[in-house]
Order: sequence, then structure tokens, then C-alpha cells
Amino acid sequence: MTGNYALQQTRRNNPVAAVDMRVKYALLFLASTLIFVWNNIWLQAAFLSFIVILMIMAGISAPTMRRLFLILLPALILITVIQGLWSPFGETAMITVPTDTAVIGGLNIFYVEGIVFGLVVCCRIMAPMLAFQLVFLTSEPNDIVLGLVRLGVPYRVAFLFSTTFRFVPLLLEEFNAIKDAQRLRGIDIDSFGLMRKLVAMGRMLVPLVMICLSKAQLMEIALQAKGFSGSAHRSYLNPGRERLTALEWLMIAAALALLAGAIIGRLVFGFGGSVI
Amino acid sequence: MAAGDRDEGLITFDSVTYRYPGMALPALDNIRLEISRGEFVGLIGATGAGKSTFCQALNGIVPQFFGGEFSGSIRIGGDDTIDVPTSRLAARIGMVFEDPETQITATTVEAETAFALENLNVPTAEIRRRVDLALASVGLSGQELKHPANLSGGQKQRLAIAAALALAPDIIVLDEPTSQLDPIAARDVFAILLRLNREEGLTLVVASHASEELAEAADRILLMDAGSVVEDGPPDRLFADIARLKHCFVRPPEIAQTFGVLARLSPQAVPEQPPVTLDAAIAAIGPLNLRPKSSGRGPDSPVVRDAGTAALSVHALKHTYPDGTVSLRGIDLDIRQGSFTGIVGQNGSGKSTLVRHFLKLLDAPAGAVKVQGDDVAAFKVSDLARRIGYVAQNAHQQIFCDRVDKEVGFALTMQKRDKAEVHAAVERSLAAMELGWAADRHPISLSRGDSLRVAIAAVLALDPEILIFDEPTTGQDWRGALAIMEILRSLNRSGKTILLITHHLYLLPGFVERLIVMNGGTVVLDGPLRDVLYAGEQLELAGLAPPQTVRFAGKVAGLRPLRPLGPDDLADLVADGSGQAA
Repeated sequence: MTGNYALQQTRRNNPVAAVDMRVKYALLFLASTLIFVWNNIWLQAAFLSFIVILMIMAGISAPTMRRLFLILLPALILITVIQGLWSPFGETAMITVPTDTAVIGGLNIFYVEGIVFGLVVCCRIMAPMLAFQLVFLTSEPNDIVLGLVRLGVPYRVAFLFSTTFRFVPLLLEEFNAIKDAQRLRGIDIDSFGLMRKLVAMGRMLVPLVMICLSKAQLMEIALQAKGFSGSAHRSYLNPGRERLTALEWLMIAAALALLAGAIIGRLVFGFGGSVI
Repeated sequence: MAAGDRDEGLITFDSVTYRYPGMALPALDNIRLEISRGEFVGLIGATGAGKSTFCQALNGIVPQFFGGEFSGSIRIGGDDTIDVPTSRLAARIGMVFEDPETQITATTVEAETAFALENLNVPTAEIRRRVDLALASVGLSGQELKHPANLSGGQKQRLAIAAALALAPDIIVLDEPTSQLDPIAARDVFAILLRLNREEGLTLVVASHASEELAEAADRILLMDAGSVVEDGPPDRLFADIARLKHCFVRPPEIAQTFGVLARLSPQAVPEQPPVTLDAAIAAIGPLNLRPKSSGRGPDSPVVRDAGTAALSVHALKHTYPDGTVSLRGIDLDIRQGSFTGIVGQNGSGKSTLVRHFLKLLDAPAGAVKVQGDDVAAFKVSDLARRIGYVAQNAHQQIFCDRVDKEVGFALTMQKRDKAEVHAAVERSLAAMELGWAADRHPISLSRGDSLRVAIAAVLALDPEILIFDEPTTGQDWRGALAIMEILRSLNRSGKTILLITHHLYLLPGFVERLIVMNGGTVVLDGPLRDVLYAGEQLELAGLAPPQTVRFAGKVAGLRPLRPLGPDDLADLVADGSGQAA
């Protein structure tokens, strides 16, 4: 079936996917920090665009990107509306209620600066989410583990980390199957009120947890049978390059330099501090 | 080979008794045996007999992983499985499990094959060499960079075998390796195992319910019952003891059962000990002169209960998945009200996609799918539940409540039905499934078979006219599978329309009236069970093998006109004493 492997990797036949894992971790680090240095919408938008361009170069399909965006959309709209209404940056009113209106006459609704700051917050959410999706869709679990090990993370911890990501599609698949099982038994959660919906969803956790525990145990037995002990003393089919190329060093240096420059620019010159 | 290996069996069980933590009865009970290098050992027994525990004891997972009480010793060559860690025993014993999904951990075929070697710190160049050899050995060369998720079920099991094979182990242990595969994929897996054993001398231990395949491939069978090995011998002796196998709830090869019937009908034409493989049966059979009963035939003469509106119908139904896979290529079908219909086909033939359209889990064009004459487009999935009950393959795992009666009434309670109505529906459903005794029990405390009956009772609470069962007998032993088929028959006799999806053709005689065969998204055969099972080449082209009795009758002149479907059917067709020598 096609829907089971939503997080399946893209092929590594492009420069973005083929780059060393340590460069990808540098990108993740940058995407998780730079967004908090800048308040400026143009800088945030430029950085977000950069990540989207990388995703396109990596061959990640538009439906995959759209799916993540649609998942986040309700939260993004809510954040923008709340910031538009009540942001402390608000100065320029977008809508003013006519003064002859009773009680709320003259009230300002939505401020330009608030809306823009709301969009900045949206960029802060989108940038790391897309960066993580980019990295994990273009990396084999083996590379993720190897990259972490080369950064000094213990092998057992690195393996756990990558297994968690492997387990997510299984979990989603089981969740959908259980949801379908409820619908097929005549339980239409969407038509329920809040309380009954919570009860029905709570009940879904019972089989989900049971099935996941059972699968986790079977997986652990299979790992044991394959000689897995968590030891770092292991070999690799594709050990990759121990040494980074000059270009990869340059990319890591550029990422760190950009972050350092952005911090200094913000602290010393106030660069990127205003929302517009 | 270690020096000690030549002096003793490769595997030695010395008075092994094992009890899981908190369990009163032992899962392994005083097992003493030896397995020599190069043997192909089949492990048979009912569910719960101890087969999986036996397999997991071989590489120390039992008791190292599970704990519990263990006495005696198991030695693999010179290694005691108690003293040597499982991770080291893995170099000597490769394991293949039932479920391909949970044993595959990597995201490419080659990475999966290499994983155990990486764990054992084998040098990279040697890993590459062994991975290439192992993949070639199971016919997966050229698929190295493919994601395992994109392999078929049979290919996944072949990948699991390759991963075990790459270890260059002394032994490969396979626990129900074919139970989730369609017949052709299962046949391919056994063919690979047979070649590895015969040509490369690999020692194999295979736990399986597939007695017919084991009878062909294994050179030694261990019959387990309640944790003990109660019989140990060659397949032609052990599988011929039909009474003993039935006593242990193990399905004898069908051909042996058929010879059991022929021994009564025409004793001069059959040997004293029934053959256990098809080839042996064809060689052993003498001239037959069987006279059919004059009365009409049984289940292949369907009784039309309602010739009116079809329970389910599809017209020119096509479906293509978002990735471009064409799953249905224009299906036209009508399922009669009150009928008992089987749908068979290889994995990927379109069976599940078709059923998902009946249930509206997939959208169809307006008018293409109708339930009791009404277009499903007009319904929500949850509304259809009152017309169609669906029992999934893992229905026994989809349990939402902590008591059986609550579970059965769960949907009605959530729909805020009147308490009296819920109570009456629960009582009725529990009675139909003979589960009154379990009303206050926790569903998880029940056996797998009883859990499945709870799931069926929960579906019946909504009183649907149509019931669809998706592979209900997968993973069940013979007793469990027959019990499920009896339930389906009694539901059908109470007026329900039954649609059964299955891989197990041998279970259908005596139950199913009509059989639909799907292949490549189309219906390739559709008719009374007997006609479809005797369709010969057409059935083979769909990747299906008819039951042994059908294949046997096709080769034997004295049986061919009778077209028996199985041993019981043969007994029904032939007049007693008709084949006696004059």
C-alpha cells in the first residue's frame, strides 16, 4: 500500500541529499537558533525560502511539503490572528470600528505590526520543522546514527534516536487502522460532542499502546537475534567518509559564521531587530 | 567446524524445561534431542504447543531476554545458550520471524542484510561480499537499494532469510516464515530453503503450520504438544499418522487424509501407510473404480435464498493509488443476499482494495458500488456499519474496553442508544458467539480465538446483514481455523451474507458456495467453488495452487470425473463400498 510510508526517504542522487550528515546537523542547528536572533520578517522569510529551495533541490515532492504545511496551518492562522489582535508591537491599525457604533465604536482591530510579527512567529515554527523534514527525508537511519556517533553521541543513544523515527510511520499506520476500526463499528467521532469525542479517542489509546508494545517487543527480539548489543564497536557497510571535504567544511563554517554574525549584528547594531 | 561439533549433534537439548515468568505450566517440558549438521527439521504443533519458545531457546532469547525458570541445557556446537550472550550466538544462528514488518529494521535491502554483520563488527569489505552472496542466493540481486517497504510480502521474507544467511551461520531457525504469505510466495520461500539445505548443507529448523510444504521439504519432523516433543521422526511416517496429528490439533497433509478416505472406499488401490506428498501419492495409487452416489452434490449447488437485490454490487469499478499503482481495472460483481462467497488472489491482486470500496474507506464514482441496492456514496463509513460488519485480520487486537460485554456494546453506547436496547444487543451477540461465560472477563485475558469471537460479537451488535471477513484464519492453527469457519457457516445459515477473503483454499470446501479469483486488479474466475478449483491453468495463472486433493484428482483417471474438493467431499461423493474389489 502506498500510504504506509509517509516518511520514506528520497533517493540520494542529488547534492543536498548526498552531503555529509554533519553538514545536515549544522543546518538543523542553524534552523533552530537563527530564527530566534532575528525579528525581521524579510530575514525570516529569506531563511525560510532558503530551506524550501534546499527541499526542492533535494527532490522532496510538493505534496509532501504541502502535507506538513496543512498540518501546521491551523496553528499558524491562530498565531497570526492572536498577534494581529494583541501584539505589543501593534501601532498601525488595519481596521477601526466606525465611531458611531455602540460600545466598540473607535476600537482598532488588527495591527499591521502585530500581523507581521505573527508571520515572523510562523516562520520561526516553519523553518525548523521544514529543516528537520529535509534532513530526515534525505538521510538513511544508518547515516543519522553514524553522524551522531561522529559528533560524540554514544551509539546506543544514536540508534534509539533513529529507531524513534522509524517507529513513527508504524505508529501512524496503526493509529489510522484503529480509527478506521472504530468508524467501521459505527462510531463516527467527527459527529460527537467534545466529551464523547474525548472518550472515543481515549479508548483508541488502549489498542494503540497494546499493539505498539507488542511490536516493540518483537522488534527488540529481532534486534537481539541480529547480534545488536548497543556496542559502539561495530563496522558499517557504508562507512562513508571519515573526513569532510573542503566544501563540507566550508558549509559548516558558513553556517556557524552566519549564526555568529547574526548574533553580533543584532547585539551591536540592532540588525534584524525590527519586525519590518 | 569446531572440533567438538564432529563428536556430538550440532544442537543438543538436554532435559530442557522452561517456564515463562508467572506461568504455572512449562512452555518447554523435558526436551531431550539432538539435531545434526545439515538436517532440515520441521517443528509442528498447535498454537501454544511451544514451537516459538523452542525456536527462541536456540539462540538464547529464551531465557536470556524473557527471564523465567530454565533447567537443563542447550548446546549449539560447543556453546551453552545460557552462558553465551545472544549477540554472540547470533553469529552461529540466523533467525527469521513470522512478521516481516517487525523484523526489518533498515531502510534499504542491502542495509538490512548487512545489519547483523555490522553488529558483529565484520570488516566492511567482507560485509559487502557476504551481502552480495546472500542477496543472490534468495533472488534479490539488483534490489540492493530498494526500500524494504516496497517489497512484496514474499520478498520481505526472502530478505529476512538473506539477512540470516549473510551471517554464514551453522543454523537458520524460521518461526512461521510463510503464515502471512500467499501460496506462491510461500512455495518460493520453501523452494529457497530446500535449495539451501540440499545444495549448501545448511541446517534448518522451521516451525510451521504448513504441513504439506514440510512433508515435501523436511527430512525430520518434531511434533510438539503442551511443551513436549511427543513424536520425532521422518515426515513420511509422522505425517501418515493422521489420528495422532488430529489428536494434537495439527492439520495432516491433505493427500494423507484423502488416502485415509480411499482406504475405506477402495482399500485394494492404496498402500497401508498413506503417502504424505503429492508425488508419492501419484506413484502409490492403484486402479480405482469408484461409483458416485446417486443423490445430488453438496455445497457447490448453491441454494438461491433471495434472487432479488444483490447484497453488494460493483460496476466497472477502477482504482489507481496516488503513486500510480493501478489496483482495480474495471470490476463487475454482484454478491447475492444470504450467500457465502470467497475471494482469493495473490497479495496485491486487488482483494483488499475492492473490500475497502464496499466499506467506503476508498471513494468510488457515483453508482459504481452499491450496498443492498443503495449507492455507498450516500453513506458515511459509520452509517454503513449497520449494513456491513467488517472483521479485520487483526480484529483480536482492536479491543477498546476492559470487559467483554462493554466491548460488544461499545459502538451502541457511543451512539447513545437506549440502555435496554444495548443490553439486548449485547446479550444476543454474546449468545450467537457462545461467549456468555466471558461477559465480565477482560478481553485481553482470552485466547486469540475467543478474542476474535469478541470482535465478531461487537460487529454483530449492530445487526448487519452482510459480514466481511478479511483473512480471519491467518496465524491460526488448524483447530482455530476450522472453528472460525464453523462460526462463519452458522452466521450464514442464520441468514447473513458472508464474504470471506482468504489464502487458504483448502479450508473452503464444505463452507463456501461461490469463489471469486482476482489477479492484477481484475476478476479472472468467478463461479461455484468446484468449477473454480478445477479451472486448472487459469487458477495457476492467478498464482494460486488448488488443494492437494484437487491436484491429485486431476492426475488420477478414477477420480477425475468425480472432481472431489477434499477428503470429506470425496467421502460424500462416493457410495460406500463402491470401490471394493469384485
